[in-house]
Amino acid sequence: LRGSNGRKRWDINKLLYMPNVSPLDAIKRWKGEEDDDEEEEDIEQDDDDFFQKKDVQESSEDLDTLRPKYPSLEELKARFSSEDSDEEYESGYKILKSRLLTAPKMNDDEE
Amino acid sequence: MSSVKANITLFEGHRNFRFRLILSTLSGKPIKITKIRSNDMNPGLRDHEVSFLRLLEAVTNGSHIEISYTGTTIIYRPGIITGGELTHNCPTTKPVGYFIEPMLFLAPFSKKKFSIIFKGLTSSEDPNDTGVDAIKWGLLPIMEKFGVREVSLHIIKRGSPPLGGGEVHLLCNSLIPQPLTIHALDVPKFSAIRGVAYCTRVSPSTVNRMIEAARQVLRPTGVEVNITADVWRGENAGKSPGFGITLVAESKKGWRVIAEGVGKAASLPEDLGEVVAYQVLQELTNSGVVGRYQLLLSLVYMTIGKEDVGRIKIHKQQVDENLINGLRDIKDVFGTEAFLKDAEELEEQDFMTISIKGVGFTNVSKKIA
Repeated sequence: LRGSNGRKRWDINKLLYMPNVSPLDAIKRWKGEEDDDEEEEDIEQDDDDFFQKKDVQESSEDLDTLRPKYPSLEELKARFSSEDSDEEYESGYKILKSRLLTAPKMNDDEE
Repeated sequence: MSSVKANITLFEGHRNFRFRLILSTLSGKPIKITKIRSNDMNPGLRDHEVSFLRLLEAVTNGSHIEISYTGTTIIYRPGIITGGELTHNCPTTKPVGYFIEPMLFLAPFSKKKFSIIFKGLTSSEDPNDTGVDAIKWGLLPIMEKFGVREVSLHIIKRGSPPLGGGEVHLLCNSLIPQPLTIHALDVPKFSAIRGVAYCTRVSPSTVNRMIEAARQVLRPTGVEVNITADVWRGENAGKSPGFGITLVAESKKGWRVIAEGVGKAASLPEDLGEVVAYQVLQELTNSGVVGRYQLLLSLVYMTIGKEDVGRIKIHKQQVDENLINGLRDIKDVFGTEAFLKDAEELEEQDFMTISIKGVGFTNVSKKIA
């Protein structure tokens, strides 16, 4: 889908181990979230980050944790609300249903 | 000496501090970490990091740790993993989970069994810290998948922040030469949500309020919801009041996806139950066979497996900064690269397969045969 609007699609396997691309950037490029004209600038910025900014930024944060981050309660509520609008239904609740074995099925699907 | 220095792997910053030391220990390769909070007002290692280094020294034989005067640089030359019986007093800046997590990477590949009693906080209000229930219900089942069958975590005493007073016993009876090569390619469907809600030194009704709020959120899903009430009293409830909840989505094949939360001062148990319930839903819709919590452990076990390619299915949402950082660390130490592949079937377009070839690691003490 994202490839169709003319944007370059990056191969995640290449981005994964490119030492000059920060992990956050790698994700952005892979998902095609980055604007094309900004791309060049961002590469420059990477170098800056690499030499100065990084330590300052990182020092305040706890970067040694396995525990994942979550969106806020409001976002989560919106994502999983079943009754609201049709769009919301599409986003979260349907995916949720596809990942669950619901109660009546449980007896049939015994593996 | 100079030849050794050439082989040393260099890291910068305090990111993945424990993870990098664990990788070094498993691989037997020395590492040097520089610029640990070098620009911070209070530079260098924190109490809990030094405490972790001591623990690492205690469970290995022949490890050598050098810390610079400012504490911003360390050189670690790993010894062999020996395990044994010991007690570790954890500082109150981090809960015991901080110390138990990395031990799970090492315990099965030790010379002697790991039997460690951790004393300190069993939970923490910091949203980055792992509680003991999350380890018990989230990480131990994953280890089982890799062939580590007999590992247990007993909560002897709970200890809520700030004073703690908790006691937890980690026991790993399985000693295996290397983890099994895993091929987990089916996207699991979750059939039940279980969990535990605990409280220490507060009214027992607190747990029921958490459970009720969580059930309210989970009811529309239609799956079986079963949350245990775990009320702690007296001596075993530690020194401070507190409460928390851990929820686990379970699949028939034994995969687990978890979310957890600890009550903050002056917060309502209902709010906590609700938010954790939503988080577990979020996590399970964004997970493949393992949740984000368990991903790094799985990847390391795959890396140190037999010389064969292990594969697990993950969700595209799980390809995030942490994953890339983790994979880069693994590559720096072991030289192994992971490979990500899009799923072929249309209905699985949100998923990817991550494969890693094992390095053929063998538990040192099992080599003599």
